[in-house]
Amino acid sequence: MTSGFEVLLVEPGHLLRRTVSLTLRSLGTAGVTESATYQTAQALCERRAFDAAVIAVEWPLPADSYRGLTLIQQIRSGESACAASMPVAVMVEACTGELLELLRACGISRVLIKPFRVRDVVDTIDRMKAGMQKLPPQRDGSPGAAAQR
Amino acid sequence: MIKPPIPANEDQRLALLYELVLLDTPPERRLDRIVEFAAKEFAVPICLISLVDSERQWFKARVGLDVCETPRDISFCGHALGSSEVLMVPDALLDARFHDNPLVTGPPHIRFYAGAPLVCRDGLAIGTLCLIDTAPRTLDEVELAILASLRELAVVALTRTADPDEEGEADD
Repeated sequence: MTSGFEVLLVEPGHLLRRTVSLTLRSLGTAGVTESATYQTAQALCERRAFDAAVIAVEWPLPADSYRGLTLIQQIRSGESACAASMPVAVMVEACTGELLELLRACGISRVLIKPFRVRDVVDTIDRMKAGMQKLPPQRDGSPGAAAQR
Repeated sequence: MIKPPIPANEDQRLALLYELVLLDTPPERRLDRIVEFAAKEFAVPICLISLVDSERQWFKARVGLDVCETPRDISFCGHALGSSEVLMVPDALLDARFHDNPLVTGPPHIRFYAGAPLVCRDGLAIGTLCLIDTAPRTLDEVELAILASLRELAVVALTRTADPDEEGEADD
């Protein structure tokens, strides 16, 4: 039983992704849609809306065209079914000044730098949800925009 | 010290444990990953996947402990088999079941224990995913949920063949 708050979790690591997802579901904090790859995440975002996203970002940027940053930029530019202003947190191995500038420009809510704990991701999503609930209610009264789209 | 009780479903529990062919088998990376991940998540020096055999507990995966088995009579994990809930012992020295247990009074000097029963089919618990610390502590609701999630993943890894998604991943 979740609260109607829907989160997209993009993380290639099976153990981290599954543990975060199972924990959020068992606590009833959020419904979680998992994606191990950016390609899948991109397809998901084109099809449906989420209330928030937590996305692993590779840095330095890998050679292929599917990246966490690309996905975030697509969301921010309205090229997805999600609200362009949707809260997004990122998970990174390390954060340089250059990456931080890029993330700030993308309006990132939180940067989780490894080694972080599952607890940190759960708390981050909890805060995103609390922030969403402080916003004026949607037309159907739900805290999350994804529920009405 | 109070010896761990023998669960009512002991025969079926052991039959399942033997059927899974886990005891005395080589380490497996996907299970090692779970205990390493849990030890880091909870910042504990010891984390085990302990399988409770008739007379011993044998560690299929372990972090922070050199021995691969201990007698069941003195096991903490044996006490966790009677329920599907996490058995948490915040301070073993204050617990009548454990205060004079040789694992408490001697190495590895257990003070904190949290064991999530590895409940497989038909509600049969074959062992635990457990966290051990040498200092008293406790787990809050979120931490208990995280431990239960890792337990779920451990049960899946113990009871079925490897998933390419798990095997192919980079270490978390």
